[in-house]
Amino acid sequence: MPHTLPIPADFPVQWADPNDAQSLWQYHSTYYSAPHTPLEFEIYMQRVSEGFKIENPFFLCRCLRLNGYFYETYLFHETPSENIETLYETTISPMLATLADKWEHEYFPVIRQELTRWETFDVQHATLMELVAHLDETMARNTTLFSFHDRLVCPAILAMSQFEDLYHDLFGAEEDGKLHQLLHDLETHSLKSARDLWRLSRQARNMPVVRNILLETPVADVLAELAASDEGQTFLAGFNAYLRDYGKNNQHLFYLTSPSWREDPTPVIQNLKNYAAQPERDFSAENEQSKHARAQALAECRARLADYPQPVIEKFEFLLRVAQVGTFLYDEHVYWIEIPTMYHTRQLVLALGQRLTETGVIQQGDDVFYLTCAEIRQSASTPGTALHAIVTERRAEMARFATLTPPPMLGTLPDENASAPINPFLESFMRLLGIPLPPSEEPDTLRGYAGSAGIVTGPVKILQRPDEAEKLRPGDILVTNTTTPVWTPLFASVAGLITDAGGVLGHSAVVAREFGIPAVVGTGQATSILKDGQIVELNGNTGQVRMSKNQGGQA
Amino acid sequence: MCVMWLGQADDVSVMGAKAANLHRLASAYRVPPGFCLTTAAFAQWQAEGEPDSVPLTVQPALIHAYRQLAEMTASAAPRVAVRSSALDEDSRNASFAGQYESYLNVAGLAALQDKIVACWRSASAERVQQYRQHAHLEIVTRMAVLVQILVPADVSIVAFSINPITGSRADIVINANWGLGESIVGGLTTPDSYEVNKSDLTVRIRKNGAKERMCIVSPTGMHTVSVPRPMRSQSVLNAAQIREIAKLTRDLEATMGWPVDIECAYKADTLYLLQCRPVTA
Repeated sequence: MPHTLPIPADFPVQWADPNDAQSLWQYHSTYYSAPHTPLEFEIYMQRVSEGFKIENPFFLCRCLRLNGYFYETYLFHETPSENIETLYETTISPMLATLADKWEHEYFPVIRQELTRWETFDVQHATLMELVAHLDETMARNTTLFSFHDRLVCPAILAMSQFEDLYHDLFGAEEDGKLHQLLHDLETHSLKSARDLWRLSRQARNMPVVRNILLETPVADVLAELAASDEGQTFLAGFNAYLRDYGKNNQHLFYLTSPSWREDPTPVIQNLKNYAAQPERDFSAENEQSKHARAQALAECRARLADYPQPVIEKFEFLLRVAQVGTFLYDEHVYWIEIPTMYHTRQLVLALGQRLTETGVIQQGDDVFYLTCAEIRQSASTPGTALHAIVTERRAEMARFATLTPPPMLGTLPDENASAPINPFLESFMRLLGIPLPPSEEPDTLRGYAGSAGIVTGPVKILQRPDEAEKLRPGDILVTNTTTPVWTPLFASVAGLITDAGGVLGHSAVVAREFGIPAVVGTGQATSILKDGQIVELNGNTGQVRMSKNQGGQA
Repeated sequence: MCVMWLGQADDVSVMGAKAANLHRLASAYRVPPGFCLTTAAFAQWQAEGEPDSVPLTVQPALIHAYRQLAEMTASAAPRVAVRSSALDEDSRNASFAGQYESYLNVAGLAALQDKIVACWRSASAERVQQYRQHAHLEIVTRMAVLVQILVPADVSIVAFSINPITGSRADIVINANWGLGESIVGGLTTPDSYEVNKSDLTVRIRKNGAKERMCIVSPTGMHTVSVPRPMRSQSVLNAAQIREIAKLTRDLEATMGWPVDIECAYKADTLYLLQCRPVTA
């Protein structure tokens, strides 16, 4: 029987459309932990949902803002088993076959064009009316850009999981290390940003004054101290160049209220400090080695396939190529979609905030986030009305929302006896998220997936957010629920990684492999079972984490 | 004469039924090239006391024939299938299919001679004797050995020119799988299957098989492996190929004059005929 979930007393919900109560709405605290203002929801979050639906043969999604929190519902299309072959033939295989081509010749040129329009619009000198027109344009642009998101991510996920299946069936499941080697060496912007920061940190280590500042000075004072010396200023030039390249990045994707690195480089400085404390490491040499290992692994696969039917060899080569493209795009798309949409939308809203402060509609720039689109447009066309009271009310409301604990699920749970819909994308996606494993039978051992090879012993540090990077010390093993691209720079600051969620093709595992650090992913509960400072032995080859009795005790 | 070529011999009585069938077809159909060690060679081997090697009197002809295969395929040690071809096998009344040895992926003279002797030995094996006793045939065995270029098949097919279940003569039934035909013949997995109208070669019923396993050549001959999951839901034959196979099957029935059970294989775009026997009642 479908089961209607009870609405918690402290989280009242009135369904605007009574039919919405029949769907299953989910709240993901990892990605959307804080409430969104009405403006954030309208000009950004809703545009994301809208974009996801375009040309998507696998699912429909909708979103709601409930007590400020972002809830989404997915309706996965079902395919009767007798039609699965046709689905693969007419939809999935062509989607995979054309992915690289569409990215290069269709999606990327349009994305570039849209971003150029933003980049060439002068928010500083536009009039209020021009900014309002630009707001409508920006909303439409967000939808357009996010329409490419699932057209990239869905085939990427399908390709990676099909290649994984094919590889396991041909070479055995124990060969995962080699499988991943074949998908390695991503030249994505996010990885490049970490490597470029690393290079800066190595330069810093060779500059005594700078090195000292990075190792000893609190984050908040680093820039001022660097500016106080010639050596520091030389270094700052490099640092600012880095921010020019990567400054649009943001610690909190999907929150317009969060400043970009360009506006507040604190996270970058923190990562730089952590890097400066790390021992020497030659990423270039490691990269070369990894390329060599990949070529070797590929040659081995081809040799083993020599006696196979030609169609099998062709399928291997085809899925390998698409899985490589998919792994690349799975990381790279964030640089072209999430990051610039966030950045430019925020810059526009800030400019609007400035104008509206000048005309007295609001008292300070930030207040603009608490206005709705309609109110902003109204203020532009009929100036003079102050909206201070509304802003105060909304701020209070948001403060109240922030104290709530949103239930992970609302609405109606599907019938538990009904079989899961046959949807190849859903199956692949669930594997990416990491199907929970049964707990280890050995005492003091956590069990997960072998995400990245190697064995390391060290103290654990549990982080809820990448902002907590200051807790990290060299040799620490990072423990977290899961990682998103925002966490990428932290991977060079730790000796290993353990996650609650995620499978071997998810972000955590892929990036851990790129950084050559051992990782065990999908343990289920590492963040609740382990304690900061606890010494563990992480075995990235077997997917096991052995806990020692020594509690460590260092915070 | 100890060695005779498919398509060129003139005395089929010494080739065994399997080879004789293929010989008859070799001139008109694309049969992988091959030759036969005749019953005379077997008799010679028996007379010498069934030694571990091919008799000296037979060796020159064998070496010469294998060298000719090498030239045909531009390969120093061509890969061949070595199969028994008994005189009573594949006849219309009794099918000894599977009762004798067959070796795949044999390369080089030493291995070839080895496998020939192994086929000869199997003819002497007790189990075969018992089978023959059961089928009321005389105990004297006369054996030929067929040596044929191995087709490392991309797709293998078994086709009947009548419906083997219903007996309908209006149907052609085709089963197909990735890799070598042994997976179909040996019942190792469910192949794709088609029922085709003999009259106009249109497909009436098509069923996608589970195709979980396939047979591929290996250094030791052949082994069974998993079909990669992304290929299981894929049809192994396209429309043009189904038509080509159905047409071949229909033509063979007409040529032979009786309903046929054939094995054929695709290597790239080329369809090879591997076996053709009467459908046993």
